[in-house]
Amino acid sequence: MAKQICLSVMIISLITVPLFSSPQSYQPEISSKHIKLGIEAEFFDRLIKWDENLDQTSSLKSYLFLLKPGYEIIEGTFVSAVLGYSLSNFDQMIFRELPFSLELNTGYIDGIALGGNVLARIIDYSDFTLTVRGQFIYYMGFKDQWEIPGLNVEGTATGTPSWARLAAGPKVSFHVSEYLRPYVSAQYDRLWGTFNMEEEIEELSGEQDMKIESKSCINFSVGVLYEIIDQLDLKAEASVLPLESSIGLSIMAGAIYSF
Amino acid sequence: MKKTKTCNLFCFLLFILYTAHGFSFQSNDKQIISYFQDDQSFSQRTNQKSLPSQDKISYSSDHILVKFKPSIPDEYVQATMNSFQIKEYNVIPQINVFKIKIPESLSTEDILYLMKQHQYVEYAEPDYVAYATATPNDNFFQYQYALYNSGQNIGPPGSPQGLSSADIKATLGWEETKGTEDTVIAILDTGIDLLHPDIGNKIESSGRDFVNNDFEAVDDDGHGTFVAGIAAAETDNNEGIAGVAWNCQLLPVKVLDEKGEGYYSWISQGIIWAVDQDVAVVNLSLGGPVESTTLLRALEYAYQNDVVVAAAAGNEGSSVLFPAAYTDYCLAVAATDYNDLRLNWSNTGPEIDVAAPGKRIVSTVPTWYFGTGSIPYGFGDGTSFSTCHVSGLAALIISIKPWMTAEDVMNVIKYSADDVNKNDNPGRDVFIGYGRINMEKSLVPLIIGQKKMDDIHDWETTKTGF
Repeated sequence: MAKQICLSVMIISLITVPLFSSPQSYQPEISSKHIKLGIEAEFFDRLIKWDENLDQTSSLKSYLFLLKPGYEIIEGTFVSAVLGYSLSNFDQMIFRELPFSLELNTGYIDGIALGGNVLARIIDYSDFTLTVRGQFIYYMGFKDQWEIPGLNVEGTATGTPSWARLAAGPKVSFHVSEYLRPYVSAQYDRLWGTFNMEEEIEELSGEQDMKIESKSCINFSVGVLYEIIDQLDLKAEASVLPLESSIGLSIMAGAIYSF
Repeated sequence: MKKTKTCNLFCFLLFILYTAHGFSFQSNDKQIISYFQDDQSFSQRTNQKSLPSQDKISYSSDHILVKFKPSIPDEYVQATMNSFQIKEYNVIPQINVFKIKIPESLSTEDILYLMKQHQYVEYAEPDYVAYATATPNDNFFQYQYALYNSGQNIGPPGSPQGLSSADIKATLGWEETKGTEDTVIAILDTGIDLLHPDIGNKIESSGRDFVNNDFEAVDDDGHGTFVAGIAAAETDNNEGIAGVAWNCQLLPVKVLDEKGEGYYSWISQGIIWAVDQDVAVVNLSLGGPVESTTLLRALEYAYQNDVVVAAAAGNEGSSVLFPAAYTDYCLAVAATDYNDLRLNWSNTGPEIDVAAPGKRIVSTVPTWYFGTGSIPYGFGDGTSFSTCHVSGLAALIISIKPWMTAEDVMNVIKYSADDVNKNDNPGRDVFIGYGRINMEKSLVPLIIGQKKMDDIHDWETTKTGF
């Protein structure tokens, strides 16, 4: 079911791009601002599966603080780099391929986030604008060490997480006023990665690379852009990632400075 | 325009706000004792009720639990009770929760629904049924303090009482695994009663008899059957005892005769034969005071083939017997009691790796042992019986982590042991080694969360996995 929805979103995206990109029914005003600098803060909480054989799941929570310098490469199409800091929480993940099985209760692990963003305006019609957007973010968690409790000898667990997220899909904005542009969006949204865990307890050692993957691969978002001044927009967005038995969510707020 | 912009800003802010874990083989140590004369009444006394499956959520159909809001006066509470025709109830005064008998006219679900809607009610919930964790229904499990010690009498009334938690945490360990049928423990001993009702179904084959040189390792002494039961008796079968390695199989290898004695050659051959049968664990509840290169080579063979060997330290209060003393290749096991205290007859030495309960251990005896009409179970003391607890644990570890080497398994068992004599002898010592084994810590995931003090925080990243 989820796969069918993902496929549908991708197909719609692929169809809508060429369909609307040629004859535009509405000519947008040409902006003279070709450079944008955005800052964003995002939190998401989504279900991930991390042991394919056992189909184990837990929740991945993450905070992202991103800087997004962008440039309009062709008219209506902005490409941005993504640089930032992230905190990700993998608690409840269990590593059973180590001599002593370990369960994470480590809280948030910090790291850097790198990636890119593409936003292409496809068509403006009346007060509506259809845009296609895509984003790739790679989180590289810093290596962290924890004590292994309860044993009669000292032991250390060393973990290094990483994940990547790819999201792409159409977005429809509505120009409520000159300053306010709410929008809705549906995106193919996949997250995958690895958590490397090393265990050292006297003469015992082990290592496990745990693959992680999001259970849901689609999100539906609502958001709004609010222009404070001519060069400065505020942005907020809330997304849900539906699943049969649960729901993931994401909220984001940011500001975009154009010049 | 300014008004519109203010309104828009307000809408934007609204949006932001809206979205946020033996006896030894020497026959003079034979200590199986029939404490039970009245077999029939014993059986009745110990008959436990089978517990429901844990995944079955059940609750009382007779009563529910309700808490009224703190501000609601008593007369209003009583009026509410009357309106529901509730005639019987009790209060848990400390938390002001009412245990209300459900009127005959209403089902549990109906009254819960109605109560939850009521303006005076803070919460209403079913009175759920809780179950003990992974507790087998075997009749004599209550006497197996070694597996789960609640401080119970270890035997009929008047028997010694154990110290709560002085056990190997079997029930908690079983939450993680009860073992797999393809994991086999070789019992190198006097043989096993192949027809014992609590063992028969756990025996992989009739094994090998190096005493009589045949392929039917029948027990003509009793020691081997006792050891086998501790390690892996049929469990949760409403009968007898629970084995440590609940689902693992047993392979009898007879290397001791009817007097409980055997040549080193038989033992060495038995080890090698068992290894060649792809067993996971070899249990050696036996030993002798003299070292032997042949015995050592046999242990090395097992070790090199990643077969874990557990061996009894001995019961003479002297130095550790062989092969247990070859501690590089096996786990040397000492004995503790129902109070987690070391037993003074348990041999000592730097070779001791771990300890396990070895005092007043209940297990299986051959059906012929006490004669016709008697129940085939008894109590015994000895490091022999400590050893098979360790063998059972090793089998459980291998069941879930078959890729681990023998050395790794041995280290897991050692490092996870509870240093129960740490007040007098902190750390590894000559009495109980690293400590009394702990199945929970060996099997159940350990929860990590506290950062190392010398926490590193470099920018190194590793494989990305995509």
